[in-house]
Amino acid sequence: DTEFSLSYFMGPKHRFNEAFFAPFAEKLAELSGGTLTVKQYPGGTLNSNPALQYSTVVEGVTDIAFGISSYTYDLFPISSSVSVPGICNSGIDCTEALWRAEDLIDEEFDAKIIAMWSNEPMAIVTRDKPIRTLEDFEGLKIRVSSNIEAEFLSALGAAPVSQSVEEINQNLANGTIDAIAIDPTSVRDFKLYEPGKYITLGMPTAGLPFWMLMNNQSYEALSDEERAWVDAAGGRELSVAGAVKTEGMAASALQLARDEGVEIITLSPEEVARITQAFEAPLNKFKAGTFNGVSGADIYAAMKGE
Amino acid sequence: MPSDIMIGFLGFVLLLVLLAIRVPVGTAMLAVGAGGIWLLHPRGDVAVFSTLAGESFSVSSLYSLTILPLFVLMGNLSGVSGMSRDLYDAAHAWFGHRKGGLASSTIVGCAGFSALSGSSLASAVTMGRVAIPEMKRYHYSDALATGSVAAGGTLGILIPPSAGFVIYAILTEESIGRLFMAGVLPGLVLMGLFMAAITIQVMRNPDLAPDALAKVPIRERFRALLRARWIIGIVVITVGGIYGGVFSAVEAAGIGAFLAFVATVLRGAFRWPEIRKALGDTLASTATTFYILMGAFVFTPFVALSGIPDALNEWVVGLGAGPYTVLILCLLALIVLGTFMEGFAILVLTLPLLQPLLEGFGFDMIWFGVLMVIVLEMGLISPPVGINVFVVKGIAPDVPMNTIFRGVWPFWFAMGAMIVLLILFPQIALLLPNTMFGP
Amino acid sequence: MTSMPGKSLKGWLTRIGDLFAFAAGLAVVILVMTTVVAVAGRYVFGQPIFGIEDVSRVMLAFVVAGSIAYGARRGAHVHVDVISMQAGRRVLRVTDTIARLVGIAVAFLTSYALFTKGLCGKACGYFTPNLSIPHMPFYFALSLSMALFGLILLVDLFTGTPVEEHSSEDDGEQF
Ligand code: NA
Ligand code: NA
Repeated sequence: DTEFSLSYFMGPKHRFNEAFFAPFAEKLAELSGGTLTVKQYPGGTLNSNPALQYSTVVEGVTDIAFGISSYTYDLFPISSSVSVPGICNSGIDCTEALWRAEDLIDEEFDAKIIAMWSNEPMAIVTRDKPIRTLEDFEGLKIRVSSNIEAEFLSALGAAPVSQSVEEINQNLANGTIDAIAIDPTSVRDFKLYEPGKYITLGMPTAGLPFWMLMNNQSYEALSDEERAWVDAAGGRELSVAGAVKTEGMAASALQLARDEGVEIITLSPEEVARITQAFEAPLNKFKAGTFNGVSGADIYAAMKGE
Repeated sequence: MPSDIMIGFLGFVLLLVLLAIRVPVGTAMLAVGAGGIWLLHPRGDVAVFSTLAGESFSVSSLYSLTILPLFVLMGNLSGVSGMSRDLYDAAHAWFGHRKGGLASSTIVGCAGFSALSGSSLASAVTMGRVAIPEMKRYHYSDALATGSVAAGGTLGILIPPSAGFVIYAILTEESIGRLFMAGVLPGLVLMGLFMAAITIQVMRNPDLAPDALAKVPIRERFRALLRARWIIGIVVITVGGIYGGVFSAVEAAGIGAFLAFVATVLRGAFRWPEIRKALGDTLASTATTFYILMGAFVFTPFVALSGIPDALNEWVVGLGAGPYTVLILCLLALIVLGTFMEGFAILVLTLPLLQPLLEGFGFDMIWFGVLMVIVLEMGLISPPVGINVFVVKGIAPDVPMNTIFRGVWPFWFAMGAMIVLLILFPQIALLLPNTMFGP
Repeated sequence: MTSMPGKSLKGWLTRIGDLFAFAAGLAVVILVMTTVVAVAGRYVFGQPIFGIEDVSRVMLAFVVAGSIAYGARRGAHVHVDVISMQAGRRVLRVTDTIARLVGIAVAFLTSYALFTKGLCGKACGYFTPNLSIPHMPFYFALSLSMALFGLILLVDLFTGTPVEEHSSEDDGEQF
């Protein structure tokens, strides 16, 4: 019998536990007849730093870890590229895009991929100024979650800032920032509907890439049969099923915001087209670049399935 | 093979033994934490090194913690530049003429300085150096003079900025800005309670303070206030800046330190040896704090691995006690710990256990943070280990320790009254943060 | 061991500690200026500087690295003193020796851990989130500082400096 340790830095009530971690453990136990089990170490017990989750799994401090590619962008530029606008436009779509580029992404990780998925495209929460048009981005101090978002939003004339997620509610409330670009479920998690008055949806952008990785030695120590169970419990199937679940959670989070009196704005097709147009320069720059030895154009094509 | 909980329990015992034989708090927590992880973790040998390096580096590069050296530096510079003296003189001009008025002025001065200083110790030292000679000159009793400095200094961690709230925020993942705002009103109310404690004392025993001094003319009072404009200005900019949303709490610390430096230069107080001392003291404070934090960040995963928090939780819930009974028991336990343990160590040792327990009962952790900081303030002045009392003893070496401890107890009860008030009226703490950031 | 070599070694360690303190003092000043620049960027120039917190992060790491070695020399590391009031000199000599041995072990172990982990560098994701400033030099600085901390304790152990000699009440405590 083998008990895998699974490390993540959020609390056990986080939606990813319900959508990914717990289903993986259940499926694994079911397939193996209870011989392969997972013991969770939530709340950063094994490592409290979100950016160091990868090193904990590579070193073998944990068998399985959860992490976010864009927190260490320089290390994982290929999987982070799923955030490049134009590749995909929903959590499920972007999760599929990651799996279409599995061969490229696999090279980035010195570990076995158990799952990888994307959250929903950004919702833009503002307090004073509703975002309806391209012009509304001019000079907007907007908190972003990744370098890629920063680069693309700069192209719209916005002034992106990086801030730790615990402080954004307060910073939007007191006006240190004008806007927060974040996945819709976080609107509920961080009570952004309290300081926020408007939420703009429909940005032609994508979410952030997440993963569950397994330590190589832990994986190789298994028998062929056990490895097959691990493969079957995780992989694309688990990832897409989880993305479907989290999409539902995002919808209910937005409904909550609406109930709290937040105005939900959906960008018009014309504005989406104009924003897409404004994204073209950084997009071309991305396609011309090289990331971990792969050209941006190749990553783009692989993720789009072209 | 002992159970995980047993290992966790033995770890706590070993920690207490190490602390008792004068092992520094940081060292003790690092040692027990590392040993415990090695025993409890499925791959202990790998995990120990990874945790020691990873957590000690993570805590040293946590953006929100840059606030600590910055606010300490700001407080140190305002001592160097003579701004703290101005503040005391202004308080003196306004409150000095009443019976016991210099002691009250000391409390007000401490409260004002606390708005610049994140540390109770710094508040007691800086204000004590100015206030104690003055009170001696007017023949205040030693007990009242030293007691008011030791107690007034404790406001340093209740009135923002506060190292206590920063550490609490880091350990509980609450917002620093929210906690700072939550400390403002309780800080002012406690200041009032301290002044009331002084008034009651001098009414009961008129020998403690001289008869009323001559009133300072109104014009003089405003002149004194005008001289204190530097320090008042910096406080208004930094605290007002946080409240008004001009900058975050961390940025306020950097701006405040910068302004304190500019004031030092403009007031002609820039002297290299003193600047060097201010920087040196800042580094020493940084060392103290971060070394203990490193210990805490290694000790906490050990506690989590042992399963003790869950077990404790189950046990307390199983007792069937009501939430307020549990809360009061927790506070009493903390007060007892505070008599002999350093406040910082209490935070890092108990929060991993208390947070899940109290959150389970639905208590507001911002509100509890204020309660906890007041309990830590009580610990700072209670025997046998009352760090503020030791500090005051350092400024007034001729006053016996017992006399100082005799002088502080009325203030200790004032803090107790503050805790009761906060339990009855949580709004005292929650009003400001909730109006500002929403509930 | 006679006290002379211990004393001169101690002199050296003090000087190295001062060097650390000087660097850390400089880093504090840079930390202050970084914040001022960040705020000025937002208000004076209307353009926040993306990722400037990363500079604060690594400066803080440098301040901590410098201050821990310096703090060890100044006796800034808090201990709880309940024993010295009751126990006799002989008991204290034994307990202080144990306390120092624990301190030495912890300091060198942490130093070693920081050094070996720091070597991993980029491959382990050791760089700041926005500007990708490598962590490696700061890991090494912290490792050196812990090693110096251990050495100071080692010298104290051999020269038999009493623990009280280091503690001065007005420095170094946060509360
Ligand atoms: Na304060
Ligand atoms: Na005490």
